[in-house]
Amino acid sequence: MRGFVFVALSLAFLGIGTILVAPMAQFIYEEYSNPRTFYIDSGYTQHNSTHVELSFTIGYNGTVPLDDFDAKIWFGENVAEAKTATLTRGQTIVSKMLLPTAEAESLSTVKARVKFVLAGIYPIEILVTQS
Amino acid sequence: MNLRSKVFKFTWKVSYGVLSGILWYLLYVYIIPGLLAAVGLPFEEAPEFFMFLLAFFIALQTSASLLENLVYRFLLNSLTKTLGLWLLFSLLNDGILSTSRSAEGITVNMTIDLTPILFLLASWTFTTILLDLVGSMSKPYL
Repeated sequence: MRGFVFVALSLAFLGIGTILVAPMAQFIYEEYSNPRTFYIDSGYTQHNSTHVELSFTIGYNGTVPLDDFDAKIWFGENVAEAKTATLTRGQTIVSKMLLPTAEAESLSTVKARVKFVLAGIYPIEILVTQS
Repeated sequence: MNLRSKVFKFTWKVSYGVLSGILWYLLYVYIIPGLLAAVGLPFEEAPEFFMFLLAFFIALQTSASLLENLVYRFLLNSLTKTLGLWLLFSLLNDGILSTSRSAEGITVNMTIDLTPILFLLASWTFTTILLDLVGSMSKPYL
């Protein structure tokens, strides 16, 4: 009887564990099979003679929802931020910022930080630094 | 009970203890981290000194198997499981996994918080300890 209870209990926990791990496995699989499951595209246009307009497009093609999504991109002292409660499949967020042309030309370091909670279970933080 | 059956019983208990010690060690140090690594999570392998702890697991489980006293047996079994859980927590860096990649002047750091999985594993461990406690208090078991 003891062995049966132990096995039944372990199987129940294994089932819960599988359900708990599934969103993470799905997210990792999708990222490996398609590197553009989650992407950040950037571009710029000349706004006027003194400023350039930088734009960022954050897109997601995965099936697992990303909750409390918060992305920040630093250009020197300037920060562009994009936030949404839940980022789901096919959704894109566009963030724009104006930067003095002289400052944009002399930029040496760009930093980006993306934070989200995968399926509302796993908090994930990604920090990208380019120098 | 004659000498032959006594020797057989002793050998059986020692073998059971050694096997269960190895099993508990493998479960916490290799099988559970291996299952999580199969998902694609970046885990480090168990350090070499963890192999010495295998002897500790075997000693604890063999002692538990040989002891007739239910309280001591329960305590040793609980100690084995708690030690396994502690090793697992240290292998998984208390649930905070970090990985870093650098290429062409770009550095990417990624941090994943896996504490929900550790909570589940801790719950399973302590539930089995509770099951052992109930078993120790009520004979026959359940």
